[in-house]
Amino acid sequence: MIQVDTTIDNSSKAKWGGGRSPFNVAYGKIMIWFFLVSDAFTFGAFLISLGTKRYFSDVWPDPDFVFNSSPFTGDANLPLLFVSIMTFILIMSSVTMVMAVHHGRHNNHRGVVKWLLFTILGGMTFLACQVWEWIHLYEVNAWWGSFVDPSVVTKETLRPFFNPTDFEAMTLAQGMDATTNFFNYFFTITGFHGLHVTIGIILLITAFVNTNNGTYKTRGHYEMVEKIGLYWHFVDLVWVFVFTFYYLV
Amino acid sequence: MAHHNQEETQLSLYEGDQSALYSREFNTHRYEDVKSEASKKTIRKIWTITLWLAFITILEIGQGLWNYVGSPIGHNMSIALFIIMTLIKAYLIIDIFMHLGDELRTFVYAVAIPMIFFIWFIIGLLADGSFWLKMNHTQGYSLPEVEQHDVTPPPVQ
Repeated sequence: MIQVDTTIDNSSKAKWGGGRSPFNVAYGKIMIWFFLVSDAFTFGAFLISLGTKRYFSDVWPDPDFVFNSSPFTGDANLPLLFVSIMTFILIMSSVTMVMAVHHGRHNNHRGVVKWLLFTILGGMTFLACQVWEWIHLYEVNAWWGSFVDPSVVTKETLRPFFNPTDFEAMTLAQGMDATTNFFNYFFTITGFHGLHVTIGIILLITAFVNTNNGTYKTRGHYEMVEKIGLYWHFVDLVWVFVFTFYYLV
Repeated sequence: MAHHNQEETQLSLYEGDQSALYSREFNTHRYEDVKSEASKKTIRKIWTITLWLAFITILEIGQGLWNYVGSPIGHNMSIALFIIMTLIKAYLIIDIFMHLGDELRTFVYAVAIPMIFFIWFIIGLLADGSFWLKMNHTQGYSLPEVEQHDVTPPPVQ
């Protein structure tokens, strides 16, 4: 393994005097963190916009009624079950990612390979679940720009999406407006998040292939795995917030 | 990708082994066996935090279902509890899973302080939303496109 000149003594240089990292963190890692801060604001903007629209509406669909189905359970009324499973899957994939990073820090090549594989599988499972959710909603006529046509939509069509109290009190116009907005925001936010998950999976596969080829072994460190891990944890973090503000509140 | 390994006679600073230059964490652990006691302690800590995350998620789901069947807690208190639990989860993930807690304090601040903007962001925009709704309900008689179901225009003088 080629050794780079490692006799730089960081303590003798001025922190911001150049030639060293003022945070004692590698450049690539700092930049990933700054990117995550910017992406946090993008997702935050979407979620807060959702909140604004919701507070601007007289009525809002009840997620306990919209999201009450799961695969393989047919017509059973199981509010929040499927999304809880999705949340657990993503959290577990985050945990396997931490394990991969841990093994990378201890230069354990086989450990990194094993835990990266689990993370990729977890991510793909989550994505598959999200695709099922989208297909299921599309089948009940929910999509971007749905429920806008007053000649087709009656109050009865909106019944499955609201809790009974709100349903009795609302007018058709209020219900249509709220339902359209609800699903517009839902598909946009979860779609944007799903795009991030997909990109994360591509990055994870890249890291997996590189690890298998021994690129990081030659390089001497698994910092790339750590950086991709940061991105993956961010994706998980965003889901935690989306889960709370869309499905629970 | 394969030829990359054969040609490494001259490595740039960012291709080479930069562990000794920068990241303190890389420097401290890289020659330790992953089966050592310190490593096992870290692994145990990771699984402990995982259990905490799972537990808090179950609490959140439980509260969601409790709201579904009818809970005595008011709507605002319910939202507050959800936010507290979500922030705890976020703190655990950022501090321990993303290892931000291991970095220098100044770097932690560089990442965390911009988040203060969210406080204004959230309060400002949500207050605006409910204000607009109130305006539509009280002053909305002047706008033809606003549903005038609970607004009475002022008496004609």
